[in-house]
Amino acid sequence: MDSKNLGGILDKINELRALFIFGQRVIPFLEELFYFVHDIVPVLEEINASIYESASKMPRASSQLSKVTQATELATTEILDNLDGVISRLDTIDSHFQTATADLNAIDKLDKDMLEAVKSSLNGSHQETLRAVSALQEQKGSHLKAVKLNASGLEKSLKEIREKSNDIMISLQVQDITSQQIASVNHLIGSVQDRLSNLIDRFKISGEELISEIERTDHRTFDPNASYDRSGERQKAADEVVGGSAPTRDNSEEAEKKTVNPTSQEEIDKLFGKGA
Amino acid sequence: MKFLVVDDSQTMRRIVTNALKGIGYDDIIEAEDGKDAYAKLYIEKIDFIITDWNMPNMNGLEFTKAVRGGEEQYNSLPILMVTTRGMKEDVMEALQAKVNNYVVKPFTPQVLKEKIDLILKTL
Repeated sequence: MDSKNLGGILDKINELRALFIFGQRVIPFLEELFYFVHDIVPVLEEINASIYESASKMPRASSQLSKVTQATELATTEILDNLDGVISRLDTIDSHFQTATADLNAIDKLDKDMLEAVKSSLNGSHQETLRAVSALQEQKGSHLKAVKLNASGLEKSLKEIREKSNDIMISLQVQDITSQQIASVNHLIGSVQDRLSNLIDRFKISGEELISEIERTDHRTFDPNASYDRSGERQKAADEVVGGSAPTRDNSEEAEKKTVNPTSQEEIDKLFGKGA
Repeated sequence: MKFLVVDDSQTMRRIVTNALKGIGYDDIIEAEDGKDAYAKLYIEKIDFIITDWNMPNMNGLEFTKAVRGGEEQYNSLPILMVTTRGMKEDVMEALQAKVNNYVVKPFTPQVLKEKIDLILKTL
């Protein structure tokens, strides 16, 4: 063994020494890392279990929401049935009322005609009797006036009931709007569940059953921005776009422009982010 | 005048139908989506269409395009879109599909009457 070989061995020993020194420095860090991993595993398992539990509850939540839509639709149909009944009865009352008013007016006219006929046939005699009959006729007239006044009040009330019934019917549009909102939430739940299911699949835990998929029986399309706004502002905005006039349907170029392109192309482009 | 009311919501079909009856139109048939409505166009003689936008199978916009792109006799058939979609872009899209006018839900019978009258006046 010459000095060159010994030098090589010494270099290797120095490298080993450096490695040991490095090892000594790294070991505490590795120990810390080991304890960290040891501590974090139960937390990760807990998170995993929590994700699993949340994901497994989603199909039920979605199903419950669908049931809410079905129940409100059923209830709305019942309310509409009852409203139809109310409106139908109002129509009947209105019809009877008009007939009764016409009859009263006819009776009043007949009475007046009868008195005139009697006056004419008596030819100036029996003045006292005629005065008495006229007085009675006047009394009858004032009663008739009172009846007509009450009838007018009744007619006003009937009109109000009809308006209120129509208002209720209009308010029932809320069922369609909320069902679209629910469908939107259901869609969102479905998307979240898909993501969570993928996560669970990637970190499969032994012994856990696969989460049942959300049953997508509700194929209804929806507007995620549906809102129950009766201020009329949204209609006003739509009217502004339409241009306040219905487009004509003849084949002239001008009509076509009005129909298809109520606002400028520039404005449309701007809306779709293609402008300037 | 025969109306065709197209909406997947039974509630809405009934509300629109009742509103139409309230303003004096009694001849009304219903369809539950664009596909159903398109089939009915060939069976019944329809004078006026009131359609929703969001529907399964064939939505209101697709239905409108199908009607306008179909037989020539349907080019002038009045179409009123009644929908929850109230964004400016939606209204423009509907107009480009050639609906005659646009009503945002919830609507009142007065608004419905106003739009129908407006369409009929300009025909």
